[in-house]
Amino acid sequence: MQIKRSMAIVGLCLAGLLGPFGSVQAADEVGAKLCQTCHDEDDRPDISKTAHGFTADARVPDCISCHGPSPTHAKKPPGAPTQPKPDRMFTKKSALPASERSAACLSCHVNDPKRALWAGSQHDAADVACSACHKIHDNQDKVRDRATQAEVCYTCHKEQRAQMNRPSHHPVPEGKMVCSDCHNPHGSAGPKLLKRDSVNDTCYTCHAEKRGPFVHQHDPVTEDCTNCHTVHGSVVSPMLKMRAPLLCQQCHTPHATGKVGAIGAPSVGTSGKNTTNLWQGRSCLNCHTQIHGSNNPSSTNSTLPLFMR
Amino acid sequence: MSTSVFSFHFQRSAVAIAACAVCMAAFTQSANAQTIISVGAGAVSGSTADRALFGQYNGLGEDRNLVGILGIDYSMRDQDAGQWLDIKGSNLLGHTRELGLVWKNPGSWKLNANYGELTRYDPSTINTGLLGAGSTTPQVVPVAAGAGSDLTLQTKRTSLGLGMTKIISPAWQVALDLKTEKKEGSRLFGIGMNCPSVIAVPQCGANTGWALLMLPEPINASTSQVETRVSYAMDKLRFSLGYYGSFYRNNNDTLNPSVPGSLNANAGLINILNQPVALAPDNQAHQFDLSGSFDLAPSTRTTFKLARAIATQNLDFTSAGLTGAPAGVSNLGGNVATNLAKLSLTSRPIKELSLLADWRYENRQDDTPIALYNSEGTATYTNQSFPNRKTKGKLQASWQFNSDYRGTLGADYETIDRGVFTATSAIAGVSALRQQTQETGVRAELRRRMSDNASGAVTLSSSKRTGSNWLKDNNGLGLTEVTDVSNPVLGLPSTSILPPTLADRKRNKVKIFADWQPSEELTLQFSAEGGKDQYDVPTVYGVQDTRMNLLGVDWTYTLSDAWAINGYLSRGQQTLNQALPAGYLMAFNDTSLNASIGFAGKTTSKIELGGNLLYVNDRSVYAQGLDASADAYSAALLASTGGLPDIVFRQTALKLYGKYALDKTSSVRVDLIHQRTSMNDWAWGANGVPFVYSDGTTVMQQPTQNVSFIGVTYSYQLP
Repeated sequence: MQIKRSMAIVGLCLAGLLGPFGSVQAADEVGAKLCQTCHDEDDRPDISKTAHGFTADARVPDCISCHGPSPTHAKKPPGAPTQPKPDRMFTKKSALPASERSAACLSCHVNDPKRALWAGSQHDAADVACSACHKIHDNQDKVRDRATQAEVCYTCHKEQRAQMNRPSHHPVPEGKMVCSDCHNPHGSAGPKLLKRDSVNDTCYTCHAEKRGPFVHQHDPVTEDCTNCHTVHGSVVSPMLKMRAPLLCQQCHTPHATGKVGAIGAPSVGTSGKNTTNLWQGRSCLNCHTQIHGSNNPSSTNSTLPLFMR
Repeated sequence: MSTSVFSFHFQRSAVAIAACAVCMAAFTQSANAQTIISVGAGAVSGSTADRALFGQYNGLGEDRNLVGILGIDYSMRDQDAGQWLDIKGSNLLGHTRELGLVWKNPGSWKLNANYGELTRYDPSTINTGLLGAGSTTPQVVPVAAGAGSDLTLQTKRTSLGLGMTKIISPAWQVALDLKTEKKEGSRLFGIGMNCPSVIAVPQCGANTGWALLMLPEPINASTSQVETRVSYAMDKLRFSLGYYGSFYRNNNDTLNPSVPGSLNANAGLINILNQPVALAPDNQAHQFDLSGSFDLAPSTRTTFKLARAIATQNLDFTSAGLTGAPAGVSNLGGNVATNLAKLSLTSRPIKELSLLADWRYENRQDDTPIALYNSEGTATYTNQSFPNRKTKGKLQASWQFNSDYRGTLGADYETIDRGVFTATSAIAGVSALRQQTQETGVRAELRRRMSDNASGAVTLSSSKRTGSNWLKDNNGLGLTEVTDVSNPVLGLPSTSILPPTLADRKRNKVKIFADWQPSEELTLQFSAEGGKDQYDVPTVYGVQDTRMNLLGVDWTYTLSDAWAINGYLSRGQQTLNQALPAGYLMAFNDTSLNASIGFAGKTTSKIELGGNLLYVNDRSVYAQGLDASADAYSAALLASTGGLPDIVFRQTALKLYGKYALDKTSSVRVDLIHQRTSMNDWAWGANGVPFVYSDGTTVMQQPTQNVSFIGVTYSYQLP
């Protein structure tokens, strides 16, 4: 009995000490620790595998860095009908302008040379915030995973999604290439946010055999690969905007027997420039095979300027 | 003949990465490490022809029906030591294997290495008598159509990349990336010639004769790239100095076919067909750049980039087996220098107003020497220079009317100057060129947030392109400026075709986007786009106009905490009107329907299911009328054949997966794919009649391709 009474007295004293001490401790929580009093480990998603979850890195932000101090969210003001949201919200329903949402990320990431040209870039100018593509509170940020990146881009780029479903395409649906292999969505000096400074320079990172320069060059090739190719996908191999000879005849005058398209004509002419050879096989490229340019220097061979050898 | 710039030994390097990874894993056993190994097997149905489109890139296009599956996913986070290590490997037993490593001390340094293989199987099956196909010395052996041997072409890329980043201080950072890729195999290629020929009179002689031959282009080349950057970041100024180098080396200089005289009686033609074909020459490019940003004020920032690039090509003609160069010329001496300047200013002077000004200048100088490379009959002319100067400007202002409305107005300007045409060169087969084009455009956009759950945007844009006077072919050296296109003598012939990349053009486009979440479970997205390019050319030939439109709806529905379904439906259309003198009036129309539905969820805590059904239907219609000056032959041809059949590409792909968690550390996953494809492209044959090359070679793509795949993978997380 005496032991029980003693234990009760000790317990009460302890409660007396801990109670007010505990509440004083809770009232003193500041910064991210205050957030964690409600958003504890059970409530927070696992980001342990992400850069933001690697707390040994002194640069890693805390809740306040991105969401702001949010005092009214942390402690609901008396009389407020509902608990106010944090200062900065990044969800779809957020009323915060895109530039302010991105500013939270840029406070650290602006120093990254790969994001140097973000300001004024197409995505910035179109009010696409960082949080539109990136999921920060998730170990699996879909846009940074090669297997799922294209899905995120297709949220806005529907035309490219449809083109990728066509039979002649870069291996994006197969997961062997991703959009960011050619594009830098964070800003670039090239057109259409291409990684290099021009369409051609971007293509040459994998297709350097087309760079030349060549002895015999083809104007539209040196100017822009997309004059002839539609790089996201086509029904015409190899990713042509239009099949030959229609594509070629957008610039070139004809030289064929029969100037209409026909298959299986009973009499197609005796010349090699007949309807069948012009519309089937590789069409104009049956003969004009070096269409990207030829380095053959033979000054006595008059077929060379026509990209035939 | 050349060797790689960087002598990486791919297989050994890949093993090295793997060994390093194992060591790292063993060293950091005490850290928070997770290793998941996946092993399994897959079976795919059908022949290579059945899998031609399905297996283009995924490694399932080769001639085997069973595949092994091996993958690794290792991640280690050691907060105490500040170490981070990721190793990922997929398809390690196949020809599309990838292995990547990222090892870093966040905030201090980072190393990354990756190895990858990608084999592309050409979806065509070739039947040919050709010997040495894919080599630099193929021998043409005429056969009856269909009586040769089957041949499938493929190209294999093997790449190795190494990268390093070091954060020297909060302000300084240095990065170095190296990548080399070897490409081997062959691709569809060929040669052809028609005699007699106005350009090859001495070679052809007076005899007639023509031949087309399928000769695969042999590929054995490497591309190496190096990129290094030193970056500095202060409070308001951030800039970096960078170097990028690209080196292309081709082990094949020429393709040297052997064509027998039995192919055609015209000896001159045979002689032409036996000429060497120049393959892509070695080349290299270097670029130095300075880029960065500067905060002029708290809400005003400028970004900039200055760059200079030099691309050269100086392959010795003789050592490459190419003869006949002009006297005193041993190589092209190709030299193209490109200077770039880009400046962008963004500002938010008041909370409601955002401003953007962007200017970009790019000047490509072609300093490649000019020499008499060309001849036509007795006339000789030089190669051509291709300078190009582009200036682009953009102004944009956005106003936030209130929390619900935001409007944007923009203006764009672009001018391209292609330089003066090389007076000692000539063009052929082109009616006219143009030195300068300029395009101005305006844009307007209105975004509206209708509620917490709905928002939308409408964008309108319109631009107009004009240019300098047309420069018509002299039928000899140089070009002549046309000041009055309608002049019957000095103007452009009424049959001229003018390139759409140079022609006057009016472009209009509208885009509408809307997001709506009517309930917690349902999300909808609507999109609609439409555009038209109208070309204003002095003749009725060439491209007259093009149009596009795209309508789509995307949706997701959350059935419960465990289940969700999603899908989309889109329909696009592209049209083009194009005319050929004395020939067709082509009204091209492509309609594409894409539909998809998918689901994912968990039946129990152990069973996860998912799937997707995709349907694509693309129809290209080539509707032809006749030009008023079409001859009787063309009219009769169109009437008797009906012109060009529609080309329809149709594909249905069903993908299902199921994953069962055996316990906390292991699981089994089953993947099922069934794909049905049909395509009636008449390029290689129609109505059972193949396109036949002069030696009897045929190329075929199976019009109906059905394939199924099943894969079972066991994944185990190591303790």
